Amino acid sequence: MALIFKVGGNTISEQVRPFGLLFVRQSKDVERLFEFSSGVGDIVSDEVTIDTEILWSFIARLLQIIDGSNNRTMATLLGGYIAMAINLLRLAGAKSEFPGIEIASPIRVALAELEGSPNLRPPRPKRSGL
Amino acid sequence: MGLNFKTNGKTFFQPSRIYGTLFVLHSKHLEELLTRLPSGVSDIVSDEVTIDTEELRTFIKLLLQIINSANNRTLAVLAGGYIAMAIDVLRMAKADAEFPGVDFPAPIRAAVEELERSPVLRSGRPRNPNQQLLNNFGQCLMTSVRTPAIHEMHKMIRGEMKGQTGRLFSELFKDFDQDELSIIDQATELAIDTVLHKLLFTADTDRFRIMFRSTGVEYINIADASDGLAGELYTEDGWIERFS
Repeated sequence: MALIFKVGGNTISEQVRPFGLLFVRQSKDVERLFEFSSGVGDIVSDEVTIDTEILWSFIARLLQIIDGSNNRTMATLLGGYIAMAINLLRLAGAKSEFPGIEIASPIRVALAELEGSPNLRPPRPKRSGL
Repeated sequence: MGLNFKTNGKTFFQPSRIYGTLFVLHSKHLEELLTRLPSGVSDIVSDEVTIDTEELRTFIKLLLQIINSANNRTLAVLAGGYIAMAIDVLRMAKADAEFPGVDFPAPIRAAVEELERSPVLRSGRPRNPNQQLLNNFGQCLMTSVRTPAIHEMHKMIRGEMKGQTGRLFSELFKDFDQDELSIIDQATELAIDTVLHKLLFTADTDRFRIMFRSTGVEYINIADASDGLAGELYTEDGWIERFS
């Protein structure tokens, strides 16, 4: 069973359930610890709705904290999560650039890894059957 | 206020509360969602986390096997930072942190290398990972609060301030000589430092928060960046010595 990520009613990604759950839980953890909203909704009937504007702001803030403090521990611990979030923004066709903010090395590597990953591409449209 | 990571009853690592908590939460999520095996990382109890290094090593080995067996890039990305940090935790606990014959995918290698470059996690007792943020806050507190307050009181005591309180002080101290005024200066400085110390100490207890904005736009609870804010004031490399 997959976890479906949606933006504005459209499916942007279908994740293997444990990985999708891991991403959602990480979003909630970081939200709680840093006290700002991630834009990643709760899971309802195997679907997660993403508010891309809020998610972009959330990631921009995390990147600014990492960039501003040169915080390698944070870049390491949250690098994969941030890369996954940026990838979802890209899949949604939403704003996913962060001008003026240096992206730390672990995040850049994780992003490059995701770009080559077949299971993170948008799902194929279903055929009509005709 | 940080967390104490312990093994065999001894503290070997004191991460900030945010990173320590994130590490513990990651452990629990991966336990439940993927391995169904204990990670060796306990819950947080009274600011302490107990690490069973044997269990943690087995847990990390299993995660690496899961990632490698399916060439699973998503998991390598999502769990890569956690695995790198866990390896560092094992190293700091002086436990076996080698995984011979196991391939490390690129995101995990990058994360391990990032931590290896970091002075934070290289010494036996790691430096605070938020040192730059703390430096910026300390400098701001000294140059925007302590030093101006001392200068203002210095002028007040010498009748150089024209307000009502200034005139009152001028009258009070008009017969004091320079030595006596110098003693008043010292007492004033002590009073200001005591207020700052009490303020920071109370912020450490989380009864209120001091939100600080450094170079970015985000405000951060500065107490989360330190193992003890009040302790940053004094000592030979404290804020007063360096920035005031």
